Amino acid sequence: MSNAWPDPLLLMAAVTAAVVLMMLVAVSVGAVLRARRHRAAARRERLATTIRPLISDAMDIADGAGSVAMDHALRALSRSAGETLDDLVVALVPKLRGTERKLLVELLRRRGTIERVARDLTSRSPRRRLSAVEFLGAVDDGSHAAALVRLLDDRDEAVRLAAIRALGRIGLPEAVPALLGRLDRPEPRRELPRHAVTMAVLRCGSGSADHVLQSLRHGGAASRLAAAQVLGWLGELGAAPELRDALAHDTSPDVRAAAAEALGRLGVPETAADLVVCLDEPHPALVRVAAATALGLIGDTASATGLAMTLCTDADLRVRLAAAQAMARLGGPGLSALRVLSPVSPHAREVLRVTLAGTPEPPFGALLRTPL
Amino acid sequence: MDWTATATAAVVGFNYFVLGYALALNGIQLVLLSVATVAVPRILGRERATSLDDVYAHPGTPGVSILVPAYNEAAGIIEAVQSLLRLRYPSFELVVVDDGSTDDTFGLLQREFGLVPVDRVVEASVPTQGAVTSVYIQASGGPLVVVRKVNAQRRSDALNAAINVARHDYICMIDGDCVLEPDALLHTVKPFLDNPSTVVGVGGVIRPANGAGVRRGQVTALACPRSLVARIQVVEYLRAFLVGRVGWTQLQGVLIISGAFGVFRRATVVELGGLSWVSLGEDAELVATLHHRLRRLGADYRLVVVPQPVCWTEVPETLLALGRQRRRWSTGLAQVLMSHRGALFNPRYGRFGLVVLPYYLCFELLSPVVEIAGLIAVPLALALGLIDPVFAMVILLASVGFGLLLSLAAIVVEEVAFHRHDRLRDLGRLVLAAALENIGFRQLHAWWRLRGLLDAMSGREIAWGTLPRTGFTTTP
Repeated sequence: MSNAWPDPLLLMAAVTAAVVLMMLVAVSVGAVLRARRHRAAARRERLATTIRPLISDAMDIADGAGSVAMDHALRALSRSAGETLDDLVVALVPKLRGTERKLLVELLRRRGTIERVARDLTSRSPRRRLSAVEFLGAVDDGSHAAALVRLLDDRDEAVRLAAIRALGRIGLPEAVPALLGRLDRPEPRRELPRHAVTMAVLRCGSGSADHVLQSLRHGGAASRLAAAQVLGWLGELGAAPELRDALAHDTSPDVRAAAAEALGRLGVPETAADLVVCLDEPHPALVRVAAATALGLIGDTASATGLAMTLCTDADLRVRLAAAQAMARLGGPGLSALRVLSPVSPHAREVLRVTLAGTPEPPFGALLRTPL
Repeated sequence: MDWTATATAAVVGFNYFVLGYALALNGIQLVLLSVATVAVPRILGRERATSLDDVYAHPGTPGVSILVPAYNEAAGIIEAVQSLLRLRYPSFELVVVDDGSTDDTFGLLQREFGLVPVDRVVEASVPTQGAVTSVYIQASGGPLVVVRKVNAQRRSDALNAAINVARHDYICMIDGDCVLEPDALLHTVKPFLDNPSTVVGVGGVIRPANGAGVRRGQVTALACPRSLVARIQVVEYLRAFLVGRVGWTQLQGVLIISGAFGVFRRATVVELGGLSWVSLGEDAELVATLHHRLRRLGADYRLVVVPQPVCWTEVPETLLALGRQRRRWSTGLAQVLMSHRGALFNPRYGRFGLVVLPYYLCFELLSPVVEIAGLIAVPLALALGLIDPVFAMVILLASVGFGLLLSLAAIVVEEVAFHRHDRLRDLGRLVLAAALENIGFRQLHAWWRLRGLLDAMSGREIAWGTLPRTGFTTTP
């Protein structure tokens, strides 16, 4: 061995020192981060205390004689005070409605914040695009809806998701065709989740029903499925004929099941006969479960016979269970039929036991939901 | 060349191998750390983009059956069930399987939640060994279902029984000693909703909560555990979940979605025949089988571990209990790798066959062999003057120093992204535990894992054991 090597003890000391140093650095990083977080929170709170009255004043004199002076005051705020004001307003907007909400949004517009943020919609940075989309969604400003629709095709997933949500929060029915249409896009890597899209369309409310019906009539399978679901959730009674048509003729079993579910939610007794037809075996199990569940929701006692037949003869356990639960929902006639069938049907026994104990049926919701 | 020279060359060569091995292992860990460090803020940003409130409020959010196998869990079952019943999720049922407990697990549940027997129709979707003897529901109409069954010495059997009872489209498998964050299910179901056609399984980050205060079924005051053994495991879990599994998620190579908390589509698990009754690592076996099948089919799929701390668990506080647990884990991993050996180094299985399985074979399963051999060879070579002290020090630095650096980095990532420990003192304790882990604990850990590997090789039968529980501290 060469004698040129350093003293092992010295080396050991150096290694120990390095380890201790690493540990100290880790603790110091933690301490610094905590201190910064606390300082930033305290600073935000201090600024917020001074800014809140300003927001209140600005709303009071929005249209008054002092509005020009207020504009100057708002524009003269320091950067951090301005950011605090924007944050406070953005947090307040979703909690308010009507005039107060409009005044707050107007306040941001007068400060030039909305236009400044909107410029970030085309930023190269996904983080900035995301922040801008979230901001515009939060302040309920529809003036940049076209840009938000374009961002449904953004290369960044978070931006696409935020754009869906923003369009929903803004609630523009005109955005519905773009939202539902994107579901049919054959690009798996840029697919929009149906869950987020349907939430956005739901937020657009009944005003979007015509656009949704158009998708049910002419869309691809994915958008037809979403449209059928949304129409049920919106409770659009006027959509019942279209949904009956989809239940009977759509080529996709998923769409037919969603149509059945939607008809159940609408609760139109005239549709019960169509649903009873769908209890028969040639229809896929998914459709049969949805039809049985829907019949329970509609509560038409005339369907008890069809449901009882399904309970006794269907090969699929989920369908039999859905039929038994639907019969329990029909009340008197359904429960009587369940009693008669309970010696031969374990599902009838289970549902009767649960119903008579006053216990809601836990799986009912599960059977009602079309798999996403 | 005489035998002395050959032996000398072998010992020196082995020392070089140990150095290379340590550098490779920690290098891979460093890559995972870098990937996870970049990914965590992005994932949190994406989650912000689609609020959890939307998932909660959406009428189409799918229902989840939460499956909880419980064997002699009297110490913590009430807190665990209370925490699960308080989950913020629109539609779920909670299926607790009392797997032939010999303590008062069922009695406690019955008294606390007012259980009544029911003739539940149980579908035999997946095979089970221990027969279901009875099913109970809450008289009050709550979502709790308790299944009593004959113990079959396997956690997987209890879970398979629960899968048969479950009636929602998604199943969430968790341990009976876990306390979930209120939004845990929303966090873990969300990836399924965001990528419905590709995501097949989602796991959450498991964190030890020994010594933590639990109030109304939620972890409120997270303190550093008093026991050093538990404290070291806090660091281990941070490294394994926050760095390892989140990193592997980004590289699409998740092999383990912990049995303590994982969400899957029920239909997928049923199609695979349920959880393996044979394997001790039934959670990894399930995920490996998913990889195996889906790769063979050429499917585009993703397995995800979300970085949010969603599941708090009680970890063993004694070396004896920990040793048994780790030995069992090692045996389980060996069984998984053995049953999927056909995919190992097989290009047909892509990343799973060429990266994931080889990594787990070389750097997880066989690492205790190298570590223990290194523990003998390096001091021996040093004592015989076959290697110089500086070289020995380099090996030490490559294995221990690098490992410590990774542990500290995991602690810092947690502090930046989640900062769940309120007190700076706790952070200091974790940092100290990260250092102390290397003195004795790590070597013992290697020994336990080696014994687990030997158990697997000998085909020795190991039953599903229970860990001694003290339960969480309930705060008023």
